[in-house]
Amino acid sequence: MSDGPLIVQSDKTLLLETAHAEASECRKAIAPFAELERAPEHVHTYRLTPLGLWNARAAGHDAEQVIDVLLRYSRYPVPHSLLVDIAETLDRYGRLRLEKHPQHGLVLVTTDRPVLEEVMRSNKVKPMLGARLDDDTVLVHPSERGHLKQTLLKIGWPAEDLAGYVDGEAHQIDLVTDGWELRPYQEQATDSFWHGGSGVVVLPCGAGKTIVGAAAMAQASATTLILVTNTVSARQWKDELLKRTSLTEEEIGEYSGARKEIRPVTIATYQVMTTRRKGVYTHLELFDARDWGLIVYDEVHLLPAPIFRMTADLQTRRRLGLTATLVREDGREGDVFSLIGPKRYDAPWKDIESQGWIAPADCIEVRVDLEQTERFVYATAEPEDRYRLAASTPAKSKLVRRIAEHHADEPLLVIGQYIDQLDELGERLECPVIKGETTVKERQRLFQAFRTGEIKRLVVSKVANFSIDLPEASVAIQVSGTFGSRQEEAQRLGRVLRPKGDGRTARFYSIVARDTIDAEFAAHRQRFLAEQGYAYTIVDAENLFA
Amino acid sequence: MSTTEPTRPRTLAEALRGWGDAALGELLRRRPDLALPIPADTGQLAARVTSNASAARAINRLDEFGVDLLESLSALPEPVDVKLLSLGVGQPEEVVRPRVSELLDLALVWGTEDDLRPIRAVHELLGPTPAGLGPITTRHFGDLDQLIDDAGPDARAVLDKLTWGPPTGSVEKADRPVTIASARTPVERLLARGLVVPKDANTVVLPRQIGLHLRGGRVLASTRPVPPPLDGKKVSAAIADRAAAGAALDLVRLVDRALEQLGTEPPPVLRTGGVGVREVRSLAGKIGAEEQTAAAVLEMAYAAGLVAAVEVGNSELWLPTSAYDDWLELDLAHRWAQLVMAWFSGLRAIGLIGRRDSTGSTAAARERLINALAPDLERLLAPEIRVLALQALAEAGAGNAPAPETVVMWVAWHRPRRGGQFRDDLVQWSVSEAALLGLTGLGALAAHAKPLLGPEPTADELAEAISSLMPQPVSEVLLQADLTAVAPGPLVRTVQDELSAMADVESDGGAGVYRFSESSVRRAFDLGRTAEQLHAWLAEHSRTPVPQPLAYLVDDVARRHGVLRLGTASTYLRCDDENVLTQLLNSNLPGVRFRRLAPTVVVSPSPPDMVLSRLRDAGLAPLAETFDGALHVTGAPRRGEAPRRRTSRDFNESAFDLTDDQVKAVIEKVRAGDRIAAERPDDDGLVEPAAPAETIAVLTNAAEAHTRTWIAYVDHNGHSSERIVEPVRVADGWLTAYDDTTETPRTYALHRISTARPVE
Repeated sequence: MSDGPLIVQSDKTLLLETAHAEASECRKAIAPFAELERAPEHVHTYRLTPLGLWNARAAGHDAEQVIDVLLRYSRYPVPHSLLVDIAETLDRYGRLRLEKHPQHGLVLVTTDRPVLEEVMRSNKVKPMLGARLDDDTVLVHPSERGHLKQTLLKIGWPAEDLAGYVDGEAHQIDLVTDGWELRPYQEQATDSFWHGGSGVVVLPCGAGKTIVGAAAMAQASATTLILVTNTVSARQWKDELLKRTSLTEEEIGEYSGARKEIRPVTIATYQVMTTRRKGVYTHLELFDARDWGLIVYDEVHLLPAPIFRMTADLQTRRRLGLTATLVREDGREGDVFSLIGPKRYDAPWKDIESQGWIAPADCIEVRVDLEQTERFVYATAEPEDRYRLAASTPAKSKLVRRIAEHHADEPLLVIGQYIDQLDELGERLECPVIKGETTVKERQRLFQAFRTGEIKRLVVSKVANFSIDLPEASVAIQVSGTFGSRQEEAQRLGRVLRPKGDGRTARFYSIVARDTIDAEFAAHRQRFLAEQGYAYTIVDAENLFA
Repeated sequence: MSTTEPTRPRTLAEALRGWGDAALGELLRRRPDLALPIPADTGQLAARVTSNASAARAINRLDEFGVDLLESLSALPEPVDVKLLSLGVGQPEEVVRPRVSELLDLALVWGTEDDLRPIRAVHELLGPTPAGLGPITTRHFGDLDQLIDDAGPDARAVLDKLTWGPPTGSVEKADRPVTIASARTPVERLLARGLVVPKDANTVVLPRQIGLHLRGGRVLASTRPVPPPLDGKKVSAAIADRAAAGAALDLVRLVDRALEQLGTEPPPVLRTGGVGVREVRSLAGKIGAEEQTAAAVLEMAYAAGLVAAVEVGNSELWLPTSAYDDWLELDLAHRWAQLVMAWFSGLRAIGLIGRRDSTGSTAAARERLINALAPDLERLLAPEIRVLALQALAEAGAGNAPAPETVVMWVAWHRPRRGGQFRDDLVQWSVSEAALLGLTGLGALAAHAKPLLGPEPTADELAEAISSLMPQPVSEVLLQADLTAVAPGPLVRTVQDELSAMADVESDGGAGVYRFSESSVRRAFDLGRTAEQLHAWLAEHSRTPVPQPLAYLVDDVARRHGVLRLGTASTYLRCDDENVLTQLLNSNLPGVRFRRLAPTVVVSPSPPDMVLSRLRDAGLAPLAETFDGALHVTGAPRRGEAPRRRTSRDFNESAFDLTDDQVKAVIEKVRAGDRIAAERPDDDGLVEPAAPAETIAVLTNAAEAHTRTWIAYVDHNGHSSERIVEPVRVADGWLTAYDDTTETPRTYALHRISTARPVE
C-alpha cells in the first residue's frame, strides 16, 4: 500500500496533504487538470471538473497521464468508476475540431463520425452548420465560430479551435526592461498563452497581470484592444504600459464615457461597451474600428454578458483573458472556456507568495459588541435594514481609530460600503475619503499621494474594489462590505498584498458586529480567506493588541 | 434395459455395474441429480442416466465441442469409432479421444472406442436432423461418386445446395413416380437414383448417407475444440488491483450511505413487491450515484440480508435489518467480502431491473418494468453464468482486460445450450457487476477476486485477500482554519461517531471531510457535550494544533448555548403572591413534585387533575387555565429481520453439490442394491407373497443356521423394499436381523414381511 500525499474522494475532489514529502511534486502534477478549490493550512482540496479536464486536454495532457498521476500519488485505491469517468470526459474534447479548409474556409471536422452525426442532429447546432463536405467534415458559417463553440460545450462535445487567427494590423511594441525584468512565472504565463493561441492566464492579485498583458502585446506586436472594468483601471493600464513598453502617450487611446479615442492600442471600459441606446449597443463599432491583432480582457471573471456576446463574433482575433480567479459568481465559466479560451496558466496564490512576489497577509476578524440600546434597535429593525445597522455601529469607528493608532506609521486603507460611515471615519482619522462622487482626477491625485507616502491613510468606498493599484498599503481595515461576496474579498485582500520593501507582514482587519447578520457574512469571509490559506484569527475587540 | 439394443455389451446397466467406485463417484459428482433420490440399484441408476431430463441437464453443461461431438455421434450411422468421429468433426484423433472418454464418463455415450453409442436421450434431445443431415435411408448405393456423376452437373448443383443443410427442398409433386429413363429435370434425375427422396408431397430430402458422402465424411463444417480467445487490452496488474479495490471501497461506502438513507426515509414496498422507480432515483441523488448503480447497490444489500421489507402499521416499508448493524461492526474488508459472497451465490439477475418482464404471467405483468428488489428477479441461470464470467476473466490472466464481447463468446462456448440471448445478457451484467463490486479493475480480474473461484470460497478468505489494499482506520484528524476536519482515512468507529456529533460530513471516500458550523457544534452541546469536552477531544484527536477560529467557534456557540432553557411540565401554577407559592412548596403535598421556576411560577410533572384535587384537599381553590402543549417523542431507529435469501445452493444445479461422503454413501447404497438384485430369486422382479407360516419357517431356520435371507418388506408407509438380512431371532411377531445395507441389527414386524427366501 503506497503512502502518497493525495486522497481521491468519490465526489471527485482530491485532498492533498501539504505536509507530505511529495506534496509539492504532486501539486505540480495535478495542477494542469484539477482546480484548486481550497487551500487551508494542512489539506488542500482540488476538484476534477469537465472544464478542468478539458483545459488539461487543451494543454496537451491525455487521459493516461491524468490517470497515471492520480494512481501514482493516491494513498488509497482510486475508484474505478472515477477513472472511467475521467477518461471519458477527456476523450470528448477534440473529437470535433474547427479548422480552416483551403477552399471552403471554416469547417468542423471530426475524428469520430457518430459524434458529428449526434451534434448535427441537435436543433441548436444545425442552424450554424452549412453543407456537409464529406463524411467527417461540415461547413461552418464563419460568423458562428464562437456560438458554435459555446453550444458544443453546452452539449458536452467541446470543439478544439485550430482555425487559427488573423494577424491583425502590425504595430511595433517592445518591452522596455530598464530596472526590472519579467518574473519567471510571468514569462511562463506569456509563453503558454502565446503557444495556445488564445486563453486565460490566472494569477493572484498583485502578481503583475498587467505585465503579462504587456508581454503578450510585445509578442503579438499588433494593434491591441484592451477591455477593463472601469476608468481608474484604464488609467492604470495606460500608466503601466507607458512605463513597461515602448508605447508612447500618442499610441494609447482611451475609450470611455469621458473620451472616445481610437489608437493602435485602445483601452475601453466594459461600461462603455455595454451602454445601450434604444436597445442598441452604440459602441460596438469599436471592435471593427481597427484590424485588431490582440484583444485583452482584464478581470475575466467579471466580464459582463454582452461582452461575451460580442466576443463570440471575434473568434479570429487572438484573445487573452486575465484574472485572479476563474470562479464566476454567475457560473459562466463555460463561456470563458469556449469564447476566450482554455486556461493557459495558473499559479496558486501561496506558491507565488512563498516565492516572495506578493506579501504574506494576516487576517484578523475583530468582534465588537453592539451597545444595549443598539441591540434593541437591531432586534426590532426590519430585516432589510439590519445589515446596515450592524455594519455601521459606532463601536466600529472607535475600534478603527485604535487600530489606526496601533499602525501609526504604516500606510493604511479603510474600506467600507456606507458613505455616512466612511465620511465619519474620514473625520475621525483626519484623512481624505474616496467615494463615487470623487472625480477621476482627484482620485488619481490622492492615489498618487498615497503611493508616494505623502498621505498615510485613505478611506475608500466600493469604487476602490476594482483594479486600483496601491503599492504601499500594508494595513487594510474593512468595516462593511457587500454581503460576503467571494470576489470582493479577493479584491480587497489584493489591496494589501503588494510586496513591501521590508518584507513585513500585511494585515487585513475586518470588523464585525457580534451576534448580528454582519457576523454571518463574516463567516463566509472567514471560510474564503482560510480556504485561500491565509492565517485567520478571531479576536474580541477588548482583547485586540492585549 | 429397454433403451439399449441387444448387442454387446448387453445393457448400459450392465456396463455401469462394471464401473469402479472412482468412475461411479465421478459420474455422480458431475451429474449430481442422479443421486437424488438415492437410486436403489444400478438398474435404477441406469434408467435415470438415460432419462431425458437428466441427460438434458448433462448436455446443457457441455461445452460447444462436447455438444458437437455428441451431435456428430448422433448423426453418424452406427457403428462409429473414434476415427470416424474425428473425421466427422474435422479434428485430429488425439484431440477427440480425451473428449470422447469424457462423454463416456458422463454416461452420455457408452460402448467402446470402436463402437460408440450415444444414449437414446441424446438422439431425442438433438433432434431428427442432427447437424442438418437428413434421415438414414436403407437403400444401398454402390459407387456413389459414379451415381452422382451420372445425374449430371445441374443435378450436382442441386445436391450442393442441400449438402450443408437444411437437407430439404420444395418440389411440386415430390412423390411422383420417376425412373432413370423417365427423369427429365435435375431433381427427377436425383429422385430416380434415390439421391434425394420424397419426404412428403411437396418436399424432397437428402438422405444422410448421401449428405455425409457429399461432405466428405465431415458432419460439421467447422468445430472449435478450444474456447475462443479472450482478446482485450493489457493493463498493469498492480494498477488494476488498486482500481478494483477503489471500486470495492466505493461500493461499501455506497451501501452504507444507501442504508442510512433507507433508515431515515424508508420507501414503501410496492404492491407488486420491490421499490419504486422514483424512490430509487431519489436515493441515487442522495448517495451521489447513477440510478442504475443505486438499484444495484440496493440489490446487493438485499442479497446480503441488510435490507428487508418490514410491516409497519398497515403498510410495508423497506428498512435496514439488524444484520446491517452487525455489518457496520465489521472492518471494511469483511463488509466488502460479505456483499461479494451474497452476490456471488445469489439468484437475482440485477440487470433485469428496468426491463420488461417477458416471463410475466399476464399481459399487464409483461408490460410492466421490473423494479429493484422485486420478487421476480430470481433466475436459476444467474449464479452459473456469473461463475463462468469470472472464470473467463481469470482465464484471461492477471493484467489482461478481455473485451466484454469476448467474455460473452467464451461463456457461450462453454454453455452453448444455456439460454441464448439471456445467457449473453447475464454475462454482460456479471462483468459490469463485478466491476461495481471491485472484483475487476480496469476490466481485469483483481487478485483479491481469485478466492471466489476456489472450491469452497469463504468471506474470510476474500477479506484476507483484499485487506492489504484497504485503507487502515485512523483515529486522528487534521483540523483547519476554514473549520474543516480531514480524516486522512476511514475513522475508527468511536472517533467517527464523536466527530459526526460535532461536525457535518462534507465529502467522503478514502478520507472524510467534516465541516464545523454553528449548528453542528450546537448539536454536540445538545447531545450533552460541554465546551471543555469539545476542546479536549479536539486537542486529543488532532494531529495539528487546534486552529484559533475553531476554538473561538466552540466558545462562541457555548456562550449562547442554553441561554434559553426548555423543558416539559404537566402543570403550572402561577400566583402574584410569592408567599402563597412558598407555603405550597413547604407543604409537601403527596404525589405532587413542585419546582419553582421563578418567584411567581411553580411547575409539576403531575397531571393537572391530580394537582387540582391535591390542592383542593389542602384547602386551596385554584383556577384552571387552558393551555396547548405537544410532546414530541422520537422512537429508536427501526430495524427489520431479513428472511434468508435463496442461493444457488438451494438448488441442485451446481456441479459441486455432493460431498465425498455423500458420493460414497450413494455408491454403497447402489452396490448393496445390486447385490440384492443379483440374489433376488425372481428375475422378473415380481414376487408372489408367500403364506405367513412359510415365511416364519424360513426365517426361523435361517436364524438357526445363520444363513442370509432375502426378504420383501412393506414399511408402515406402504413403501415396499427388498433387503438381504441375516436373521438373529424370530419372536413375539418381530424379526431381529442384521441388515445387509446398514450392517446394524434392527427389527422387522413379521406381518410386514411378504416373502422370505434363503440365499446361498
